[in-house]
Amino acid sequence: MTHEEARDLIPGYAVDALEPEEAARVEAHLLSCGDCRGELAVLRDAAASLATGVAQTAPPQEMRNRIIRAIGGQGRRTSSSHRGWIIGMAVAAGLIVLLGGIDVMLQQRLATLNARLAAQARALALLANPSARTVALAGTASGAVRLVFDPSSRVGVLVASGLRDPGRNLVYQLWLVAGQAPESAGVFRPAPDEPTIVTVVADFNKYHAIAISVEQAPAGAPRPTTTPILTGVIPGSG
Amino acid sequence: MGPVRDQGDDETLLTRIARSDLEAFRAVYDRYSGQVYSLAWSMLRDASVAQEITQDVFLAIWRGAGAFDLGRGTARSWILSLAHHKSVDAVRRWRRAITAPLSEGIRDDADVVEEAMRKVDSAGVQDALRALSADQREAIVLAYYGGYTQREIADRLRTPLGTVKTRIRDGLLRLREMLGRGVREETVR
Repeated sequence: MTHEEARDLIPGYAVDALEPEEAARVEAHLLSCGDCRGELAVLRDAAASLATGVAQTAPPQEMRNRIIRAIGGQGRRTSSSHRGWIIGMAVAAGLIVLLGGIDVMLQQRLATLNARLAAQARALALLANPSARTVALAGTASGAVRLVFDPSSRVGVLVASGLRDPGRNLVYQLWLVAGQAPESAGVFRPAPDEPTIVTVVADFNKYHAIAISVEQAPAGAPRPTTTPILTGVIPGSG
Repeated sequence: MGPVRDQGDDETLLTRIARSDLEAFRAVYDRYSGQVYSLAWSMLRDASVAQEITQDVFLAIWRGAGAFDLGRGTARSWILSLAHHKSVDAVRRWRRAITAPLSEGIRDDADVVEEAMRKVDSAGVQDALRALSADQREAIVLAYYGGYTQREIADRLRTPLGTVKTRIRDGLLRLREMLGRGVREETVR
């Protein structure tokens, strides 16, 4: 999705008036576009006033405890006479929390696998695309890292294998460079023993270089704070 | 005013929630559960569905606070957008289950808009909506309170999609001018 297309859809996105596939594409664009995130912030502010304009009704009292229980926190008050019973309850509650935790874990695992499959499908589609271009990144880090992108659809994937774990509380951050100002194109941590695929949605014609630096987890930095470990030149459209 | 004890600003609370701070979560719940529940209730008119949505929203806050991005708006607008998103989902599921699509509208457009306008209780928001052009108001009310997509709205109004998009955008920007940035509605009980 081009920047202009995304820009055109952001008001609809702010009020949840897009078709699901449009919303997903805007979401992907937002990851790499600070301008559009800023526009969304402004429009969401207006939408929030609409939200608070409706008649105010208090939710039922017991809902608060139910929700807090659901996230696994219990305000436990022990009175000695009921200790055995309370321990039983606590064990049961612990089991529920545990099962809930496993469920969340499985769901997260499934979401991760789905995202990975989608990224692999994108990578394969790009490799089969005759207009796709490839940039090999080189620098001080070991590992094979390539960007494959299609300038016309503005979709690219970064495929990295053999990159070392960046270390605790650190991530690799991807930068697209136009002129003097690198723009963040997302962060990632390499998975052990399998290549990492990062989807990059951008107007590649605008940028002349791509770089990777090591930044603080989880979100990276707005501007690179360390020297890039890998860089590559993005060929101009010819 | 009111008994609301200041636990720090919303963004700080979300940062604490991301570190699994239950007290911060309770503070956010106490601050926003009324607004979240009210929005869901006014869109669905069903207490049990509104409760389900509210629960989903707060679970999403608990799990997703770490991914909150101030670049996309304030914590307040994020929380309310979660509430709206889940309410719209429920409205669409319900509509798919029981009624014809908007394009086969049975009732007059004006009725649908007026019905949605009746959900608005705050005089300030009412006035601001009335101050929009009729076209902008119609598009925004159908999208936001009605839960229709901009494509459905364009079909129903037999208006080009681009025009509907422009009305939503311009209308939102005017609302924001009139209602102020990050306005906090006093809900004193």
